[in-house]
Amino acid sequence: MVAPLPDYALVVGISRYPGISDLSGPENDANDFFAWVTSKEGGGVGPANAKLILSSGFQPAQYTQDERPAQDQIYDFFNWMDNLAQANNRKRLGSRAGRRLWMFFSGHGFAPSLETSGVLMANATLRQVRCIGAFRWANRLYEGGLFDEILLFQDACRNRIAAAELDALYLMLPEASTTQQRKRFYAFSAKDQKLSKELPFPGGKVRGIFTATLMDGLRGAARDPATGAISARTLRTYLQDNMSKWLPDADKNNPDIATEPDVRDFDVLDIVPAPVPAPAASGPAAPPAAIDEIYDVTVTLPQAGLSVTVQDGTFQPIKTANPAEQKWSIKLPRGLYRVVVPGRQDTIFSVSGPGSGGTINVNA
Amino acid sequence: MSTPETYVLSVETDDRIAEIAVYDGNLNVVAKGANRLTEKLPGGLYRVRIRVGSSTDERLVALDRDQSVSFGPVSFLSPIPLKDTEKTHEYHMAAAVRTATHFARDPLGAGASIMVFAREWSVEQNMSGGNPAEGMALLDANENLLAEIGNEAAVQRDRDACAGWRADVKPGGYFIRLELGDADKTVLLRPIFVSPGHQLQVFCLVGDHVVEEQAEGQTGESATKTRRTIRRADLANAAIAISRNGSFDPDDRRTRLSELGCNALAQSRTIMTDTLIDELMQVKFENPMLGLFAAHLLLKDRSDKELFRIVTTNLLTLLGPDHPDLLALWWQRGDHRRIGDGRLHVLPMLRASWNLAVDRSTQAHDIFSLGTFHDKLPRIAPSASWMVLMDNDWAVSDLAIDQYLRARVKMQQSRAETIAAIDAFRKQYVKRAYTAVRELLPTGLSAYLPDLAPEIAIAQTGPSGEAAGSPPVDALSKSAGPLQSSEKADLARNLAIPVDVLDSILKRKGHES
Repeated sequence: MVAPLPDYALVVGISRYPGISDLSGPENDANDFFAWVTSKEGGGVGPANAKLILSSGFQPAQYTQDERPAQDQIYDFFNWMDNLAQANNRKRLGSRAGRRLWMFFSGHGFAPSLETSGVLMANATLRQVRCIGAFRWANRLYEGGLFDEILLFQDACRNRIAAAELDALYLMLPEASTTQQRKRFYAFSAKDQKLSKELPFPGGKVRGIFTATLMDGLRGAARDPATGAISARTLRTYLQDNMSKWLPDADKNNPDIATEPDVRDFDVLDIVPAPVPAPAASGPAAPPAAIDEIYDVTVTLPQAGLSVTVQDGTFQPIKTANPAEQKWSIKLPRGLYRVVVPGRQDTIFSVSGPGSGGTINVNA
Repeated sequence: MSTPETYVLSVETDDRIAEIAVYDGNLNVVAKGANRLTEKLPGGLYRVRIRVGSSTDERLVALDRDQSVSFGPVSFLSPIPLKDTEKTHEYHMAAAVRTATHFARDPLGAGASIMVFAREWSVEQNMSGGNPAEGMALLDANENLLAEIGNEAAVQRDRDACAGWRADVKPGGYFIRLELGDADKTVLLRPIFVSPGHQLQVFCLVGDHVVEEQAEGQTGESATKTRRTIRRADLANAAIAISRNGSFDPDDRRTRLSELGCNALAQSRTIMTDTLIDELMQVKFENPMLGLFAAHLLLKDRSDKELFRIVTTNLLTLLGPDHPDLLALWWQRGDHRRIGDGRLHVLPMLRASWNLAVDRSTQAHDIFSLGTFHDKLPRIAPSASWMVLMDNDWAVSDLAIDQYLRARVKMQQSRAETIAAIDAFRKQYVKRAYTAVRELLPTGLSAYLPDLAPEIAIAQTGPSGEAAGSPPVDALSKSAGPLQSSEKADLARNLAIPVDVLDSILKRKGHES
């Protein structure tokens, strides 16, 4: 039996842009993603199969055009993947480099259109907007069947600029075999024309709000309560629901700033499988591990002493009380809920992640 | 155990291409649709979410009986001052209406008209200082200056400023030019085409153009550079509408739909709803821009050639046979009907149409008749759904081509190294296995088997005696050879330049064609 091919990861964080303007968050974001993707409890990519490319890995150059990381450093990774596929093909394992490719990019970006969205390289200038078309590269590798699964995460602005030079895809790959089952999941920090935001986070580190939300989701907050897995669908919903909570109100009301990511969940796939439960000594197989991500919710009642029921998404009562005070604090996992107080209008609310439940006001 | 009761959830959206998603109580998507959706679902709590352009709206629903949810228009971003969009003021709508009908400079021709409307937008409504049309001009298809729009426009400097301009012209192709007024003399060109009897309307929001300028008297990479922000119209992202009666209606549902179609095309979203297709199929269908976007979306989303032919035939009635965007679409019909001489005489307005032209250039010759403008095609810049050119010598595609050629050589070198290493390893492996077998045999038998060592030595070092694992880059650069036709077609599509233009650039760079 042929051993399954390993997973690979390309993680890029560019903070130093002498030709444009420096950023503070991309290296923090890339380091965090790299730590997670190479951890056993995270993405599970062997460290030898993961490439971390950061601005701090290079000396500042005298001239902007010599600044690194540039396209060549990214191309080296693609060539490596191409070589692996060539080698596997000669070993009669098929033209595949690996099972799954994780791609993460954080830096300045632009997007004349989705297909041409790109991340600027460190040697980009206002005149020569050197970039990597991450979306197109992901599609090229996907169409060439180099991997069964390609996951792309891009934390970069998607404002439209007129004169960006798109990098040409030099790697010509034959079309993937029709028997190969391939899947994709792409998530961008901003929808078309919107700017991605980086902010100082608790602890002082500056991070992109997309990556901060993404990492919370990947570390467990986006698990499907029913299966325990983080699927393309649950991660999408999690990102959509939770990214804006980091934004100050002024940014939330600014039409130029992205409050939601652009997620393309082309296929049904588990991005992170359900945690494996501890094996039972005997008897039937253990149920999926419990999901312990629950969030604080405060129900504010018109008056103290009312009988309150909280129903889940199937109208099943899950919490009932007669709180002595007007405020009733409870903990709930992600989902939709209804507060029922006899004689009052029902209140439906959603809990989508940390801090999302907040305070639920029951109408008088 | 009893089966949960089911109820009907009906969702209706005001925007015909709104995407709808229904989430269950665990926040899993259980139904999807566009424009309207009717779904039988088990009783429970649901979230209904719609997406319009880059904007979203949502409602929470308790499905304890049949329920209907309806969404009004959702605000999205558009340069056109349409009602229910994100960057719109009532006074901009009114000014655009006035420009379309009342503003008139001396006619530049007859049979059609062009309107340009540029505006500032800010939350504080205090961008009243400048002229939003500054630096804009109208050129004919041969790039001759026809009008300095920036000087002629009626500027309204109340709160967020706006500038409107309109002129009667003869039908045909034109350029809107924008000069940034920087030291590099940056010039953007937007091709437009106006059909007989139509008013072509160009709408721009003003944006920041950051330019870098060298200190006086200094040159080269070491020169001190300063950055300057110039407020000028964002011509690259200007929206275009076509009016058949010479007016502008900020409440027009079809113009709104056309803007959403433009967005869907740029963002690769599939939104060809049945109701939209029904509308396109109607003989009375009368919004040419919506028709152009819809035809492109049909090409991407559906393989129904018959439907595509009906839509393009309807567009022929609306736009006439000279329209470059229609011609690019016409090539995709797959029948032998031709319009005009089958060649592009002016540039199309839509980037998607240009992509079709580039694609055709990989299979056919003689599809362009652009005169001297042909030389400027390497200056085409990527810009959303629209065509735009950076009309400067430094804006050609050479940099990307150089990078491509270098990366291609490096990739080929890398592949050759890998294959050589595998072959060497394989031969080494065979040699070891062979030697092991030989040693196991009785001496009398093994003496009949030849020694493989000399062959292995050649395989490991290559015929020249140099290590096979590291061939020199120069040698590989030569052996990389000319681009295959498939590579050339791919590169042309990537850079959005026709194959013949790419050929001439490659020749100039000393590459065989």
